[in-house]
Amino acid sequence: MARWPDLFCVQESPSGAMMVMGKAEGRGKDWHGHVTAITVSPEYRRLGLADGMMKLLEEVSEKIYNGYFVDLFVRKSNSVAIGMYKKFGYCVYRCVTGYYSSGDNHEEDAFDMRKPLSRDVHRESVAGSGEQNIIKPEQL
Amino acid sequence: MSSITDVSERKIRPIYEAIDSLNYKSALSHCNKLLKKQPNALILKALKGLILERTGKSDEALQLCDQLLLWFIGRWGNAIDDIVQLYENATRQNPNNEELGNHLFMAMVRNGDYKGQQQAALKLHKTFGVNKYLFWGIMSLVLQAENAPAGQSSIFMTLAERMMLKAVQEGRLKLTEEVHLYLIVLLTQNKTKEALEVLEGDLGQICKHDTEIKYIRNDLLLKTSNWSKAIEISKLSLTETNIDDWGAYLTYLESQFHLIKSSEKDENGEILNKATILDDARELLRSLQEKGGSSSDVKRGPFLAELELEYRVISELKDCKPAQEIDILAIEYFRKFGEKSCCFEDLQPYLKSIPLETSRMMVEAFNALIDSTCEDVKSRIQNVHKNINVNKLERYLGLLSDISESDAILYVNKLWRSYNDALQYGVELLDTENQYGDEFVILASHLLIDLYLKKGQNSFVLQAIFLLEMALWDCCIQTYPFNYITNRSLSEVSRVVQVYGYKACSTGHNEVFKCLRNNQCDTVLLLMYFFNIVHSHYICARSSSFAFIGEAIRACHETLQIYRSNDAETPEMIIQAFKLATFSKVQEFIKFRKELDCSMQRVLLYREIVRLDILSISKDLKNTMEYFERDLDSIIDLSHDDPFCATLYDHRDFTVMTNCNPSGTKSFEEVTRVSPTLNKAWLKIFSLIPRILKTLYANNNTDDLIILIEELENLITLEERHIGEIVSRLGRLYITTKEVRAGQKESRQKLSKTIDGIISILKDFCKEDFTKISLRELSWKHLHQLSTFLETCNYIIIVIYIINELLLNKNKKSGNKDMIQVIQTLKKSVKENLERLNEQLNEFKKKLENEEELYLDLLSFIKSENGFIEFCESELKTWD
Repeated sequence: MARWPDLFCVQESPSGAMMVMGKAEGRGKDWHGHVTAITVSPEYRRLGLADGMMKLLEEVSEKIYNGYFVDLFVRKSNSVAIGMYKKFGYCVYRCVTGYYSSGDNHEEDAFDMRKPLSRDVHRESVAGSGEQNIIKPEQL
Repeated sequence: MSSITDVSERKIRPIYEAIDSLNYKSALSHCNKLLKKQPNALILKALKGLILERTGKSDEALQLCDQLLLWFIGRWGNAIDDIVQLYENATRQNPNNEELGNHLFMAMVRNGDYKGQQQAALKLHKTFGVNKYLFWGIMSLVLQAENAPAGQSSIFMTLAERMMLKAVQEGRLKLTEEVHLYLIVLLTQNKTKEALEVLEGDLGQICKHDTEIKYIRNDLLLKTSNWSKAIEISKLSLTETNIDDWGAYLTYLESQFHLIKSSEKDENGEILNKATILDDARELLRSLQEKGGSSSDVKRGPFLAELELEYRVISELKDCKPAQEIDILAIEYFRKFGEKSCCFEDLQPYLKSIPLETSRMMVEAFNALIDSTCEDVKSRIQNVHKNINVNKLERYLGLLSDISESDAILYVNKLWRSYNDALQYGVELLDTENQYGDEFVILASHLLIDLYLKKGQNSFVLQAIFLLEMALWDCCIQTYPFNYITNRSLSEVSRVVQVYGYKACSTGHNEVFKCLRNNQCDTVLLLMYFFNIVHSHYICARSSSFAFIGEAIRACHETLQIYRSNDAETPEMIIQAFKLATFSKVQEFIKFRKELDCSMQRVLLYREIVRLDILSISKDLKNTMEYFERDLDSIIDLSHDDPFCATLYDHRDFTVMTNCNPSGTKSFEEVTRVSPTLNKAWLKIFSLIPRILKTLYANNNTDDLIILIEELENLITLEERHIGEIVSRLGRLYITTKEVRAGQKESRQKLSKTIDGIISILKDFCKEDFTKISLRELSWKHLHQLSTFLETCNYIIIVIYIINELLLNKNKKSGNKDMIQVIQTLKKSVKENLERLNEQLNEFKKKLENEEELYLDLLSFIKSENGFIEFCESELKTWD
């Protein structure tokens, strides 16, 4: 929030209760935007709110930071989220093994998903995409 | 010199482990043990310092640490002054070292020394000519103005604005955040017109894509009465960018209504026609509804805006008629969005004063919109959401307020059936998700609490708890941390609040997120804290000892974690904001830091820790005296006066709890409170008690403290008031004893009188005969009475010990023996009370022994009293 305040945003419902907390961070801001977290309170789901938040982030990444693409990580098992991101135009760029790990030695793979922005005319950022591109977390 | 590695890892490990598990007392005793053998070991000193710091004894921690270790503790503690000094000396010696200058500035930031910051920044700017340093200086001036005494802030602001203007003329502003700082300078002085001019001019071009700046501009347009422009911009934003932007709808409607109400002409002199304006607005919403309805997800923004528009017409414009009545619009809204969970919350503000008859008609219409014959799962899940919304609206519209007992019971049964029916659709939901029908159970519990409040019968509360807990089990929530069955036997409204709060914390991620907004982490912690503390009472009562106080202390320390993080991490965020020149966030971070730092809950927790500390060590009176001796300073620091209380922020936000009670009536949280919430009176009484005990121990004058505690009334529980009364009399007893010893004969009578007073309050305090209480009636109040009574006895015993010391140790006059005997009567009375209570509790414990029987008894209680037959019988069957 201190570095990229414009990539951090909250939406509120008319009654003043919070409904969306979209947090985003530009990693290496000169070339791409990164979605750190996006969350919608349960009673405000299925309203197309995440769509708006993601668009906002893409717009900021493109117009202000002049990035080539936006990327994000998602748990392999989170089919709802993956489906949602695909709908928004993201594709699985690669698979990171054991990216998510909890205290009890439980590990889960992550998909690195990307969406090229208009600056990336030839879609170079997603060249050779696919779930079969497997890398380890330390290679990131 | 001793080094960091001269104690073997194996020996230190238990200390680390104890710190990790927040068991500071054991960590400290380990540490002390090792320090006896190796008094110079740096690592041990550092660890001890850390432990002391974490238990709130920063001063001792600092005393302990070598200069070298100051850094280590300094990040958490208050050693910042020394660091500033260090950098000041260093920069004086190396004035051309830019890095050192930066460090000095940041040390000032950490310290919140705005004046020092300003000087350091301007010095940097003068020496190195970097723009950023100039803006640091300007920001520091704004902060000084904010904190200046009334009437003196304008000097700083005038200077800040002049510097800013010069920077603009010299073309130094290049980034959005720098323009933002310019806006801050102007808006702090309420110069809205000038701020708007900045955004409309060349500088506005720099930040035209920034979302926040867009909002600020819209806000400025409203504040400067630029209605036409505001309409134009919000309209553009709705049609071109975001059809769901509620802020833009509000700007649009606000401006239109101002035009309608204010005059016949707009600010450009164009003649206005009210009817045309309204028609224009309605036309815009209609076109947006069409546009938003074309995609697969129908957008609710334009439909909700229609409600807002007509609601404003009804409430603000006397001579205009709404195009549609609110109830008709609400029904239409429900038709489109009834299956969305937010439908209830969306409609709430517009249904505040609907007549009962219309409400009834509306609910009928809502129900007619639910097609119960549908077959596919998706539609059935949608029906669950629709039904929940209708039930919530029914309650909110006041249709359940006068419901008869038998109808209410039928309604509860219906809700419970709906919940169970909905479970089948959620089989595949993750553990972290709510079940679709969860809110049926919450609504059922609300209705049962209504019944309890009307009839005063525990069976309703018990049923509410049963249902809520059943729902918790269905959710596969982590094993409930306390015994399942006895849990059920000890209950009252407070338990509902707890189970409810617990549910909100563990299942309702939404609730937690609601709290996290606006730094309301406090609320979540508070619920946890409340849960722990009340349970400590519960445990105390059952075992008639204070063996579980350790748990409560640990819970308090755990809760304090957020404040320690604030101390350590928030200053770093402020520093980052300066480093990266994110001026728009500096004030926000500072506010965040301040509000957590001065949190009422934080102070309450510290008081609770001292209270529990005294209780836990008072098993051994010699230890207690040592505690008073050792912790003299920290106890004397227990602030409680009015100016101090006025600086505290109360972060409790109970609005995160679901509340569908009709508007204008008490919220669900309010009606389920068992006692007044912890407040300033509580803070005062539990600051004064340890101070009085401490002062008595030190043989100092306690008069003023006793007067303060005697003045306290109301706003705390009767039992807590009793504690205060007794402690004040104990103080008087001590003073009188001293008077008698000094030879004032007339005080001897006063002595017996004071003792009689204490004994009679004790008698009043614990009138309840625990052998006569049935488990069906047992409630938090009993437990509270019991634990506070035991606490009071503890204080009496401590003071008797102190008085005895006084009488025995000093030069013995003949009269002392006599006085010891008088004091002895008090001791005897306490002893008798405790023995009586112990007998009663032993008797009572027998009732608790057969858990199965208890559970079955409570089930049949609910079954016979509430007619909740289906559930109870199926439960009873599982036990056969």
